[in-house]
Amino acid sequence: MSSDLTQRRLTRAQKKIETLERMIEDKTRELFEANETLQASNVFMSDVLRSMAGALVVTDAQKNIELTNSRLNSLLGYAESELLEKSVRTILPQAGNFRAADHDRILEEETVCIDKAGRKIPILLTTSRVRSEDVDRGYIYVAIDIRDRKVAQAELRETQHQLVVASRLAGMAEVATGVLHNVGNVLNSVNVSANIILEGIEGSKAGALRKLSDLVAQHESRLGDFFSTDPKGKKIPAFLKGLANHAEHNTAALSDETRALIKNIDHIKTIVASQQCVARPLGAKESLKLPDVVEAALDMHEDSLARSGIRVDRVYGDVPAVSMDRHKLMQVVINFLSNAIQSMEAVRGKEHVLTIEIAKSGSDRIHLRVRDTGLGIDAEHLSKIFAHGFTTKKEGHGFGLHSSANAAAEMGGRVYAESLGLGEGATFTLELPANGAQKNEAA
Amino acid sequence: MKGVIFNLFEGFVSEGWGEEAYEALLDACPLHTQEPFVGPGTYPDADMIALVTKACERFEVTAPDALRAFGTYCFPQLASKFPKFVQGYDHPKAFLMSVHDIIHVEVRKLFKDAVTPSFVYQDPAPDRLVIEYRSERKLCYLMEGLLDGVSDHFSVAIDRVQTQCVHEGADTCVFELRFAE
Ligand code: HEM
Repeated sequence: MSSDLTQRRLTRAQKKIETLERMIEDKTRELFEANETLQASNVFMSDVLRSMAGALVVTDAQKNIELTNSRLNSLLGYAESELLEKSVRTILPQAGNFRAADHDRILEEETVCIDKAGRKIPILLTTSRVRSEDVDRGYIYVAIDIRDRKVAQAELRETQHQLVVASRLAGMAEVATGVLHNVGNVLNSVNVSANIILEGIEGSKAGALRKLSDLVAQHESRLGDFFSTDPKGKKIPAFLKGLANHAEHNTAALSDETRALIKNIDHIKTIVASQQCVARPLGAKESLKLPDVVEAALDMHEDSLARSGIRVDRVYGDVPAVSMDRHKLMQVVINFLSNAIQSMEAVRGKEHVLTIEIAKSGSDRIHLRVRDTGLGIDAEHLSKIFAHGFTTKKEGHGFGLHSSANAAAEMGGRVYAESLGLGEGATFTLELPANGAQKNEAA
Repeated sequence: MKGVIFNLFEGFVSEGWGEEAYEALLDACPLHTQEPFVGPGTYPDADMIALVTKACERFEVTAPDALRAFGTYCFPQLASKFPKFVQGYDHPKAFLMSVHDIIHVEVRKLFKDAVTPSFVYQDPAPDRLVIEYRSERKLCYLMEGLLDGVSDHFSVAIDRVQTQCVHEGADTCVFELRFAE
């Protein structure tokens, strides 16, 4: 029985071993597979780290580097694992720190990192904390190289600057065109006056006087006989009377014309003077009374207005002075006036009125309205009219309205156009802040 | 039930009544399981019930007494097999409070298919502990033995009153424990 028992127990022990072996084999296979899965996920994780758009640094709670990805190493020129155990301050000297209260916050900042050669590289940095049981176990830094972005930003600024300059030049060109146009108009009158004066001088009968004087000189010794008996001499008094009449008439005409000439030359001086007051240094603000600015602009257009028989109605309300850049304000007003005048000149045989209204609207806005009785604007063009390069005119002054819109915006205001349609005239409005607050414009 | 418990039962019977008695018990029981029990294996609860029932019959003990004695035998064995679960506790109260949330949780990770009971604790005073035991297996007698084993292990007397029992129609078994120190 005892040996039987031993045999039984041995057999059972053997069977147990077999069963356990099988179990160990199964378990080993299981572990092997688990290990493979783990390794695959490890490879995947390191692929993820390598392929990340950002350069990655992970530190312990003391901010000593525990892990970096290859993007960080190549960005900073370090070999793999060269940064391990170094303080994160070696590469991120200015990175911000968390305050105790920032629980789940992520810090995001533009800062610099330092490459192996000590060069600063601009980066966008996000920092998050590895928290476990309310303690910081470590920190995760993800940096994105923004050198290209910085260059692009600088280029964009340069382009914007060029645009500002271009639009200013365009505005100045328009002012200059306005001046030339008006001077040209006055020069026409000057030319006419000059011709009239020339004609007056040429037709002054100075030749006849010379002949008369020669004739009188020939008969100097017996002038009495000559006047009373000589057929030629007898005509002289009547001839002299005619000559005197003619001279009197001619002199009056010539002095009239010369006065007109002087007036026109004065007018040219005024136009040039107002251009000079337009061409002050850019960007300088000064206290301006809107009516004065409008009058200066009207002076420049006086001749066109007069020749086209356009009546000017002034409706100036009581508005405070504004603090603006005279150049910008003048540019808009001149642009409005030349558009209005050209539009009215294009519609002949009609009594035209240019109405200029200056008024306060609300407590903080001032309106300058220029209303004409000209061509009017088609409804479909109204919204596009201030867009860059838009024009319905043959000479193409679209840039004027566009740069007016820009100038208005720079002054903290806006421009808009209203019209009931073609043939109905148009109203252009410049709306300005009453305090004249000027927006800072990009340098 | 895990093989580890069957093997503990084999040790318990062999030590108390001899190896032959255990072999005879195996022969006398029509078990579902033919092969020998190994620790990591999982076997039908019915086999354990059959073995315990047959043992009580043969050795003329009541089932409650047998299970109590088995529990008292089991605890030092389990504690030496898994010393990590016992280390770090110097009082049975703290240790008992770790059974549900730590020990049995780890047990279910270590032993595939292990089914452990559920304990709900009440802590009315520093020297007292109330454990509400809930299990399909209704092994409150085993529980009593295990508690005695715990008392022995820590050398702290535990005075225990079972205020309700599933074998008397209650939903759960409730043990009110008072520790001597
Ligand atoms: C080192 C400590 C312990 C270990 C390693 C341990 C391990 C186990 C294992 C492996 C089972 C079998 C599960 C199955 O076969 O499905 C079990 C069941 C059980 N354990 Fe523990 N245990 C420990 C401590 C305790 C303590 C201190 C108590 C009670 C005070 C306890 C009460 C029970 C009960 C009552 C069962 C039977 C299953 C049931 O009632 O459904 N255990 N334990």
